[in-house]
Amino acid sequence: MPRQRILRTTCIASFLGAIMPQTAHAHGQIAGIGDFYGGVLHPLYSPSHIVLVLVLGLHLGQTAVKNFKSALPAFLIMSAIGLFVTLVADVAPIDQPILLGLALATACLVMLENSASPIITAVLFGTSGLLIGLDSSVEGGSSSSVVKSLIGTWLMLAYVIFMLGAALATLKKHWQRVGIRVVGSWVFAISLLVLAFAVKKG
Amino acid sequence: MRYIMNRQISRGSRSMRNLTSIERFSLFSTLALLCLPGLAFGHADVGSAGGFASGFTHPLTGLDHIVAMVAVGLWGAFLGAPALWVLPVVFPAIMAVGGAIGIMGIPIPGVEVGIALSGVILGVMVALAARPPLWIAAILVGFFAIFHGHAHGTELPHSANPLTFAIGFVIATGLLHMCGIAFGLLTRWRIGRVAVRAGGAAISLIGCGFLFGVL
Repeated sequence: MPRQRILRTTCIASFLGAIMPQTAHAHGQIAGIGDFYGGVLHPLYSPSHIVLVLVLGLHLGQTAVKNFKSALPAFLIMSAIGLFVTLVADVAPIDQPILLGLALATACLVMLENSASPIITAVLFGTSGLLIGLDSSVEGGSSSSVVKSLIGTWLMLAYVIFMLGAALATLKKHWQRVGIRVVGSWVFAISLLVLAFAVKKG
Repeated sequence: MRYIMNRQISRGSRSMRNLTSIERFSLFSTLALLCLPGLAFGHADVGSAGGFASGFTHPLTGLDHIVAMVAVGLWGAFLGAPALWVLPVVFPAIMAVGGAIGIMGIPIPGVEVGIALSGVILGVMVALAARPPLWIAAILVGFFAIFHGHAHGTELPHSANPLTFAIGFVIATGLLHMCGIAFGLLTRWRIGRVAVRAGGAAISLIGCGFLFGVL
C-alpha cells in the first residue's frame, strides 16, 4: 500500500539521517550552531543514548498496538521531567552501564518478540526516558539558552522514538519482523560487552 | 504512452492528496532533518569514530573468524526456516556471552582449537548438507560462538572507546553472518546447492589449515 510505504520510508530515512555518525562530545553546548539546534543534535552525540533509544524504538515497533498509548507517553513525559530537573539542579552524568543495562533488558524483549505487560513496559520506557533526560544536562550558557537547548533535545528524542516505532510498526512480513529481532540481538550483544567492560573496570 | 503517463501522474497526485496530516508532517520533517549539516570528520582514528572503525575491522582481521561466521550463515540458509532466523538472532547474543567472559579475564581452555574446529565442523555440516534437528544445530553453533566471542573479548583493546568499539564489532560480525545467509540463499537452485556445499568444503579445509598450524 503506497501510504504505508511512504510513511515507512519517511520514518526510516529520517531516523537514518538523524543518526549519521558524529564525533562524541562531552556534555556541553556545541559552539557556533545555536542553542536550540545544539540541543536537537545533543542526543545524537551520545552513543549510549542512541543505542537505548534505538532498542526502545524497536520494541515500540514490535508491540505498537499494546504500547503506543502507554509506553510512548511514559517516555515523553519522563524524559521531559529529566530534562527539567537538569535545569533546576546540578545532576551528575548517568553512568553508561546503567543506560546500557536498560538497553539490555529491552533488547531481551525484542529478541524474544515478547511483550511484557503494558505497565512494566511503561515503567521501562519511563525510566529510560528519565535517565536519558537526566544525562542530557547542558553546561554553561544563560538560562534561556539552556532552556532552548533542552527543548531541542526533547523534541529530537520524541521525534526519533516516535518515527522509529511508527515505521517499524508497519513492517508485517516475516523476514522484516525477524530483522527487528536480529537488530535487537545486536543491541543485546553490544550492551553485554560494554557492561562486562564496566564490571572489569569497576 | 501519454495516456499511461497521465494516468500514473494523476495516480501519484491522488496519493499525495490522500496523505494524512501525519504523513505530510513526516515527509516535510524528513526533508528538514536531512538538511541538518553533519559535522565533518577529520581524521578517523580519534574518539568514538576511531573506536567504531577499530571495532568494525576487528572481526575482519582473522580468516578463522570470517569463515566460521560465514559458515553459520550458510548452514542456517541450508537448514531453512526456522533455523534461518533463529541462528542470526541467537548467535550474536551467545557470542557476546563468550565475549563478556573473555573481557572479565575468565579463561576458557583451547580457545584457538575451538575456533579452528568451528570452521572444520561447520564447514563439514554445510558440505554434507547435514540437516540435524534445530536444537542440535543451535547447541553446536552456540558452543562455537562462545569460543569466538571469548577470543574477541580477550583481544579487545583497552584504550578504545568500548561502546563504539562494541557497536562496530557486533555490526561487522552480524554482516558477515548475513553474507553467509545471502550466499546460502543460492541453495534454492541446484547449481547453487553445489556451490554452497563447495563453499562449505572450502571452509572446512581452511579450518583444518588453522587446526594443524598450516595457516
